[in-house]
Amino acid sequence: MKLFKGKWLARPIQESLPAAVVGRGPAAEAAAGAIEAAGWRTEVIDQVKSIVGLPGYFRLQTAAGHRWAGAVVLTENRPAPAPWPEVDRLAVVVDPSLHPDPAWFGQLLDRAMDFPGRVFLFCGQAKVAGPDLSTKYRAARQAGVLVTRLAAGPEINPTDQGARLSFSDPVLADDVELTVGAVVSPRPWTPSPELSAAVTALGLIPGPDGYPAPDNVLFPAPRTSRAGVFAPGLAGGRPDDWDRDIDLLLAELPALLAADPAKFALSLNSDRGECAECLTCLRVCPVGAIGWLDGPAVNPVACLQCGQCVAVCPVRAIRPDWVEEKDLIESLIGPGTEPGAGTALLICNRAPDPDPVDLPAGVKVIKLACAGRVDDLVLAGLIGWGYERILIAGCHNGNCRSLDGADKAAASAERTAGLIERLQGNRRPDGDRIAIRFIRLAPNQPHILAQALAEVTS
Amino acid sequence: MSPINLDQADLDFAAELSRRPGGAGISKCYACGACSAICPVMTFKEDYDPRRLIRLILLGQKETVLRNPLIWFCAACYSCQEVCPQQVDFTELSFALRNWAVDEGAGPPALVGQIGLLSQQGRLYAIDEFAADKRTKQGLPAVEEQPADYDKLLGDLRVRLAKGGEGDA
Repeated sequence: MKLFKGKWLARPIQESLPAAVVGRGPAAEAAAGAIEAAGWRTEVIDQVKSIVGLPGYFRLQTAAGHRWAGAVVLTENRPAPAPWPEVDRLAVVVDPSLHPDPAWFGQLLDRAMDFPGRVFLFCGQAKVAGPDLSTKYRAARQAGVLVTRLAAGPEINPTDQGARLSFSDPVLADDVELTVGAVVSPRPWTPSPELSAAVTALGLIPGPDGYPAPDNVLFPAPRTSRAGVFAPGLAGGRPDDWDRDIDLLLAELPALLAADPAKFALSLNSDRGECAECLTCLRVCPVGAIGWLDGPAVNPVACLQCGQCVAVCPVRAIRPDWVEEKDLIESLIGPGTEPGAGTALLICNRAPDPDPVDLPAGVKVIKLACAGRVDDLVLAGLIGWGYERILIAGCHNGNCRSLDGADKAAASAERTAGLIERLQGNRRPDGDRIAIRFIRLAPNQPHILAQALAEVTS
Repeated sequence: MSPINLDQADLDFAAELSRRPGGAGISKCYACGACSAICPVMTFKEDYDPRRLIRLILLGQKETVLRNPLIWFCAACYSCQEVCPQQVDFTELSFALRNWAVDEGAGPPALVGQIGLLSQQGRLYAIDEFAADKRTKQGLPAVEEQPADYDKLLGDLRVRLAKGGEGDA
């Protein structure tokens, strides 16, 4: 046990967790400095493979192992924009499908004004009214920058000396032609690989250009669509809001980082002398809710009650009170349960309620906290018990509250179905006696459930 | 119509115009078209369109604009200035363009004639003997022509017209 505590358990149950600053460079250093100055521990992490967990208990998987953090702060260094070629006449063509934010467009106007040659600026629907932007727009015109708004962009024909552009003027409806030394197509900032990886790992709602947390009413900066994850200075692409964002972040940190061992007090009912101390449950928990406190201990705040730990426990030592699966356990292993027959429906209790659905006769409905509870052993047990047709209903990708529970169920179904098929192929040429099928459902799709059941039972 | 070629355009035209009296508004225009929508001149002169003129200026079509008789059509009703959301002041812009056109020797010929008449006889329509007799019979004082005053006032414009004409030739 002591070995585990020292070597295996990176999770500090008894002490406060640090704030993880994801990224590198000045922005990460500035964020870490500000948070440490406020009295909290930080850990700067370059790149993350995955981030799971809930506010206060994030598990960040990195190449070097995993780290625990109470809050996640996303930062990034914006790369310097590519220099424009030094030509007498330069066409700057902004992709008309983009709707650049005013700050970026302002920077573009600044560059056009500073450019030694003449700039022809083409854009789609750039907003030119805004604080300071109107003045800048005027100044750019005064400096000889020709701004043309085109719905489809100019036609560009490369030549030896550059390019020949032609377009139909939106006001005059006349054709206009011009020769330029070069054409550049600047894009608004694109997220760095580190930030993209973090956004993907967190399953955040991406903004219009791939940044996390669009600056909107639901997730005002620096918050992102995931509670406890912050993106100071990134939302809405306004670096000058950095100080305000950091202040807001610091105000929310105490609730996330303060140590509270009581949060881990709930046992998993595993202290029956059965636990093999293999730590499989700790590894498999999608939200990192399981820690170690003289045995597996679950954080009730973080736990999603998906039952995946129950599914993976090699000695079946975990029998939590909160998983309402008495039916399933009894139908599998419990004495006094009559052998079943016909069709079994294993359904996530966040999928549509099967009760109102007009079920075909003889369908055994087994509601689960998460379809991820269905493993090969469950399927084999059901078949062994006499069920010949098994339908597993999980949630759509991205909807699974246990992150990948539905995926795990799908994998189990595929594996077991493949195995059964091979068995049947060898021993039963008529071979469609046993059928296992996995479907994904949303709560408002009982008709799909009914249809799938009809197909499976027929 | 052949396409407008920006390679031959005077792309500083708009910036230069903005530095002339009355021309400052040119850099504010967003091409919303409010001026064209309200312009009363457009109701009888269809090719007159303030927004088109502004765009031609921005595209550096200096010769096309200054030698365009359309810039002399503005009736100075100031309707466009009332509706413009950007305070472009197109009426003032028109005056700036006309002044520039005169400098370029592109003033309308009638203008030259009218200045000549005013400078010579103090009015566009001379008081002939018949009218003078009528005034005498009515007991009105004789009209005293003072063309020198007009000459003083318009002399500068005449010089500019002459100069522009020379430059043009």
